[in-house]
Amino acid sequence: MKRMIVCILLLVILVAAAPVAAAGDTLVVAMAADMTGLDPHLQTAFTSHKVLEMMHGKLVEVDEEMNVQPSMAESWEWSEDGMELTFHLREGMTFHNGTPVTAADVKFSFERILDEATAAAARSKFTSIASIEAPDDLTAVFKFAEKNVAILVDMSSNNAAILSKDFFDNGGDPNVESVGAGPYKLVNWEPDNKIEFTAHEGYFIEGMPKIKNLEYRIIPAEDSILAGVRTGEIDFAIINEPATAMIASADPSVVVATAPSLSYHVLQLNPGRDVFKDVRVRQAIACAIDRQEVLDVAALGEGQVTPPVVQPYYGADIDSLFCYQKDIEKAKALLAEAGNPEVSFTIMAAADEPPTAVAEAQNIQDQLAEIGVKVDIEILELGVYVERWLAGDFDSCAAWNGGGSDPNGTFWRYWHSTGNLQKVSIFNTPELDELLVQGRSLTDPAERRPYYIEAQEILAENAPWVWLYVGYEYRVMVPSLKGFIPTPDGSVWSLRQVYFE
Amino acid sequence: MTEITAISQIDRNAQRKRNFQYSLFGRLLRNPGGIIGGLIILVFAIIGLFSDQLMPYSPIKNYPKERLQAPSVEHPAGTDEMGRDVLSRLMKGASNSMAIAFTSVAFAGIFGTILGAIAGYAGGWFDNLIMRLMDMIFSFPTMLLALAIATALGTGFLNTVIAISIVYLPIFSRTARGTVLQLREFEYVDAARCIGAEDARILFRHILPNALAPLIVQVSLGFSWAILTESSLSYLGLGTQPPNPSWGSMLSQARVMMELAPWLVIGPGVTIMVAVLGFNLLGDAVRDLMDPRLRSKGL
Repeated sequence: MKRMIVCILLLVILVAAAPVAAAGDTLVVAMAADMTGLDPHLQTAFTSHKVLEMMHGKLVEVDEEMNVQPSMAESWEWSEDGMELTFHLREGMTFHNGTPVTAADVKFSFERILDEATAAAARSKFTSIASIEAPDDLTAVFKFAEKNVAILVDMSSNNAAILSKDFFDNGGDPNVESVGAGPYKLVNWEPDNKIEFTAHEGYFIEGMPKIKNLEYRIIPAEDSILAGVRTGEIDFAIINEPATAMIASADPSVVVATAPSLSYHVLQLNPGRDVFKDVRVRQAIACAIDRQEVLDVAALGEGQVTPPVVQPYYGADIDSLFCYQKDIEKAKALLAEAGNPEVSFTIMAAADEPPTAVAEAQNIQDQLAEIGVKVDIEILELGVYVERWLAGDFDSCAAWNGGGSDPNGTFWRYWHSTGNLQKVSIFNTPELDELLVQGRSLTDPAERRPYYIEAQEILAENAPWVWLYVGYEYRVMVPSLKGFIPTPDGSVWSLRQVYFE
Repeated sequence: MTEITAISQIDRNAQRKRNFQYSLFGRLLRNPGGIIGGLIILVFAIIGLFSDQLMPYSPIKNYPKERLQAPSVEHPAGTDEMGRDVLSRLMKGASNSMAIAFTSVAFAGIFGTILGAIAGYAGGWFDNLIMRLMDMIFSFPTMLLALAIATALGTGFLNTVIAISIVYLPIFSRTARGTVLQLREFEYVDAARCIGAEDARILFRHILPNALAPLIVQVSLGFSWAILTESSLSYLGLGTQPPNPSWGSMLSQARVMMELAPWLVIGPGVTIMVAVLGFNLLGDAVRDLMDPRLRSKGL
């Protein structure tokens, strides 16, 4: 009996002492899927970006209202004709390995992105750049071949991270080692388990990051993540599953930060596949799907049906778009007209990103059965899914794609004939090209808007994709964690300034 | 004359009755665990076989207006996030789970027994080769190996069956080999050999029928393992694919809803438990009956 009491006491002491020792100087973040790779210029998955932004610095960043703010560049100015952009870098910035950040690194980074051999994810956003010059260590001058005022927003992406020229010159491999200028430096990455960071002493914002150590834990089940936050084992969680977020919202012991998301759920049809070559088949699919039903069933109604452009100001009125109201008769008529009575195809869906994808696919399968279209569902692990998605190797997929703060960023890469994700969308028209060129060369939102509205009408009518809905971004944290700012682009940049109270 | 016929008829009836009483099935009916297990399995088998006729609703059709309803008269087990009737999905899941369990136990049983019997009868290097292969399979934790095979082969009915069969192959082959090793030393085997019977005939006509008893025990227990493995694979997304229901995948999809809609977890959870319990009870009863030491206790 005595021994048992001692044992219990020891246990209690151990359990009580363990969290005390760690609290305060380590921030534990949890999410359901791991990043897919270290090279910031190549990654497309959302989960990757949430890790990359802790490690890398960008010339500029966007704040919670999606306005461009200085970051590594202290200030910038456009030339009169809008064909030249000059950045003034901060003084005394260093990379994780201690080498100073200079304008030569900026030049190198953007040239690397523009080099086709790199296969950078954001290359097409920067093709308007004609040349980059570095007249001195702290000045970088971008010269443009054509006007592109939206480019500042694109430069805030992790896909435009500034990398160390020195590191590459010495034969460093960005897929193996991470040398950035961001607030945290990578210490250890155990894929699908955890990623550990420690504060970058020379980070260019004074006093940041506030918490010394950062650890990302990869826990595939979001309900387990929530359980971790409830017990205080996890401080901050990235939650995508609406059901889990609803449970968290009802729980007073955790804090939930919600922001409308700019990432949209979409059924991508592949016009390159025989089954979808005929526009009428694609239109029939679009007409047969009740988008609100998909939202209700897959995301418990947590979100809104979205037009092709997700940025509210530029979005078209959904009632004016082709077949945004379910119309079975029209769908059947279109199929009959196409002379293809036995349409069948496969929907590819990733198992965890977003967690709603499989449910979306099942509901769409069910809805399409009403017009006699047969759908198979193929569920893949995220890494395989991304690979096949990038190669355009699918009939259709239940995708979750990111939208930035500017419609150009959302549209150009998919729908302009030179867009770097044309392989994924496999659709373009000369009119669309023209509208997108116009849209990105103008500065006044009121002038730009009509071009994007028309582009959306063309896209809805041609139905290469069936845009479904936008959900919310959920961040669940312990109440003692302060200073987090939710943003609609899904970024967690403000983790560098959070602190425990 | 007629009297004698009548008497022998009575004798024969009594004999038949006695035979039945001492037959496996007859003795099983006197074991309470066996009866309960047998009944449970009978109910599941009927539901599984006739699920299409018995289901009150479609297990796949979405009814968005009726989603996440708690159990009621219309939906005794509630509805899921797509408005699908959970009871109907459990019934369809019974059909899927039983089909996979039955096919994979049949596969593993037949191939395992043949391999084990040949190995035991032949002996020598062939025995060594087969049994070391089985040892290799056996040395992996079953769930891990099933996962690895299912991941490598991909999803689908046949692949799930293959994964489960391979994992349980060694159990059957070891059982068969052990029994055959004993039986091949018996005199009737020598007798058969003396009258010039071929090896195949000796093995499959004379030895194997006598080796069936322990194998039947393994088969009845094998069902419960197979159902559990199938549920685990589906829970991890590698078994039955949506929208087709399986108990394991229903449980996995419901996990995030546990607090919002607990009936989504309770339904498949209880179902798996009862099904596995049924097979275990029956399996235990069969094992007891096959055990000669227990048989002598008047059973």
